[in-house]
Amino acid sequence: MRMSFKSWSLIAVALLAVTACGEDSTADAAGGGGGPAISIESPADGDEVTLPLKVEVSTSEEIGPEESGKNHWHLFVDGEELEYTVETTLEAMLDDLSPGEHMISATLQHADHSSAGASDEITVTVTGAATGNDENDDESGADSGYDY
Amino acid sequence: MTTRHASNSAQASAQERTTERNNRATRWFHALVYITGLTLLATGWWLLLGGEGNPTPLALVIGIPDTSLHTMIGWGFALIAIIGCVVGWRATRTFVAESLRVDRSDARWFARWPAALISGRFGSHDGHFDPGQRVLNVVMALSLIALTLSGIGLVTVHGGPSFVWLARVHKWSTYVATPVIAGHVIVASGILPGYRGVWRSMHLGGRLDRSVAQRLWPAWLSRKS
Repeated sequence: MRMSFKSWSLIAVALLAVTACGEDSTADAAGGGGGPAISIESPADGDEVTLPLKVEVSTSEEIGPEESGKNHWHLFVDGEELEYTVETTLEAMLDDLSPGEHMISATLQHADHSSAGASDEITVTVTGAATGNDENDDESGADSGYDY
Repeated sequence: MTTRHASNSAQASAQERTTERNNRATRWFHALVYITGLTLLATGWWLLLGGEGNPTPLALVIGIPDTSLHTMIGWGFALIAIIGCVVGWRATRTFVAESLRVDRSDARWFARWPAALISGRFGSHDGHFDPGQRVLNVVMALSLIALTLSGIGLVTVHGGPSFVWLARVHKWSTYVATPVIAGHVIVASGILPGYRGVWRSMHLGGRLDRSVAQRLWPAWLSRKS
């Protein structure tokens, strides 16, 4: 029996589905057990904070820009996983959060943007914007640009 | 009865007036390649221009980041390309042989080409593809092969020194492939009067007017007749 191009295409789509399903199998791993890890060091879970807010992380991996082939991390707020900033240093700034409770998440990513299998999240309460010099002022030069 | 007879003769007349340039399998292959390819180009440029983390409408609809979308469609493109080339190996062989063909008359064809874009009076050539198409085929095929192989490499190694080199190859292949694909789309769209009607060779039954075929691929048409 000779298979048509359409049949081969259907097989290709099925293979693609299998491949795609296998892609992120490690995405929800917590990062324990000696594997890659990332942890939000500041602010602490449950803190009351003012804006701009400096988020500091620590990670077991070397991080840097994509062009360096090193890992990076994604920062996103309130579970909006599709809307994130790409962070290539250990500090990032959040400056546009509405007052109230927010969940801040950090996920470790490979240079190819796939999940490195480590993430951390905290909940903070934004009480308002800081006035004058604040310890959260941007010293890192890390990018921000959130609009929540 | 009279209506059916009239319809049959209209169909027969359309058949005589047109000719099939590409068969159904080739047209399906071309369609799958360009749907996946153009989506890859769009998401790839979005990411290249710093749009990561700011989802495209497609990413929002599907609910996955553009990076994952790009990777997933990239696997699809690679599978379609590999399966298409293996299953249609005869067509692949013709494509390669006819694209690498060089004839003495090619220089004359190129000399007349700029004016022919408007007038439609292309120089004569003996190929299955015209000389300009051959150059485009070679550059496009090589850049797409480089994009596919480097793309597979990027998602396989995840990071590290090899990643750095593969990313460079991927990026530079994009710079080469983009204007070539844009040129192909402009030609196929029929915006240029000389190429008007050519899009039919790959769409809606693949039958194009014989006068268009005569204008662009005279030797192919006479071999086919």
